Amino acid sequence: LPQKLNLRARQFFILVTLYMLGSAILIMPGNLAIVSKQDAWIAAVMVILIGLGTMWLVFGVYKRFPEKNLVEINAEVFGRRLGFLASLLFFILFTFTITALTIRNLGDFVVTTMIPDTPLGLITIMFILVIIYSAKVGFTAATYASEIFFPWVVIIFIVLCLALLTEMKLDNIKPLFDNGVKPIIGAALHHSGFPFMESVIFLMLACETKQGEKIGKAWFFGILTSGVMLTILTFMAISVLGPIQTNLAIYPTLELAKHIQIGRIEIIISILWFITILIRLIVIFYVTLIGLAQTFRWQGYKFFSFPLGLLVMEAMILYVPNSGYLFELYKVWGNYAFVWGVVYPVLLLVLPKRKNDNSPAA
Amino acid sequence: LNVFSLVMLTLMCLFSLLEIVPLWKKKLRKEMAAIFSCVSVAILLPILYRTLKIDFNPMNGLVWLFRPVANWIDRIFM
Repeated sequence: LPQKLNLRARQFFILVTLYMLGSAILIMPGNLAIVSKQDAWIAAVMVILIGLGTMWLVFGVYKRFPEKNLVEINAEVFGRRLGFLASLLFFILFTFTITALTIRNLGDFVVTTMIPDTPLGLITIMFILVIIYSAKVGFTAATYASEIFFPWVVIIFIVLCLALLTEMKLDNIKPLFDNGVKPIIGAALHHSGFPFMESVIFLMLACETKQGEKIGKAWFFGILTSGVMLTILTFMAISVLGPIQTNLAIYPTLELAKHIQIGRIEIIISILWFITILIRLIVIFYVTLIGLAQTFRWQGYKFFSFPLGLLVMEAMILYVPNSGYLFELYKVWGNYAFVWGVVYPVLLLVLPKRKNDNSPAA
Repeated sequence: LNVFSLVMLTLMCLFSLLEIVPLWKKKLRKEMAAIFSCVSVAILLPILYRTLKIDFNPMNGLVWLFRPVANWIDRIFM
């Protein structure tokens, strides 16, 4: 298995931020606006709070097992056989599914908005090749890449916000709490699962850091930064587009970018989405890869990059027969993510440790 | 799946199978079996779906299982 990554707290912060932004940056404002209308940005604030709560829970698991990753934690809490089963289910039913859905989302976005005549397979396979390559060269390279890209993401985000300041109409967000608080809570509960209940996957990376004492802060600020950026985007989408158009648009942030009156600047702004989604894909693909490798006690993990990429490619087509179905899945994803993102960490926190450690990694 | 995707899938299968060479030299059987099973699934799945006209999507199970919870949340908060 891979040598210790020795991630620094700053790198961990960047990975968490970019992971949480990926995909959600495209669809979250629209999803929140469906139910909570002009109060979607308040729902986004609630989503941050739920995300921080989930992070606090998962961080509790990390503090209980600071030197162990999820596969080892499973073995210690559930025992050898049940731990194997728990790890297998987690990596196949959760992280692998997220990889397939994220790549499908990215492919759909490119086909729908930029190059409609290009086959979906061509676009997705190019991204799959990139994530396979990143797994082959090692995760350290991806963390350095994310460090290089992070300032670009922040700069493009600031440019997007500044360019839209003049387009904002504060009347669009009024009246506040027009439909009461219930729809806001409902929207926040539905959509906090994606992406903020996926914090649990960082248990595979948190033990790889060399500044363990700073990891909590990095994790907290990663969730907070991505949450604040998503809230600002939701606020801008509502105030520029209005609640109805935000709700109707498939990708509200792209519609936002189209409001900037400088040529086809939305394509440059799209770099923001490509970088964040790509880093998200690299992280989740790597986590699935090393998770499966450690669960099955393979010697190394890089040899499995191509076969896993192949399966992701097929799952992407099998799981989501058409892009409309993806939005159908988002409606239930929050509840599904709750099982892995909240119930599962609670079990890891509450259940006592086994005395005989037969961890698969031992 | 169009022709291009099929070509790319075939190429990826070949690349996956190429990974077996170094594993063969080190006699890592478990790892070789993992690659073989993945490639077999990747090849057999589309063939089975086409020939037997199976309309099974694992995600439907997820929707079936969690839709009642989503509806329950909707009833309370909407």
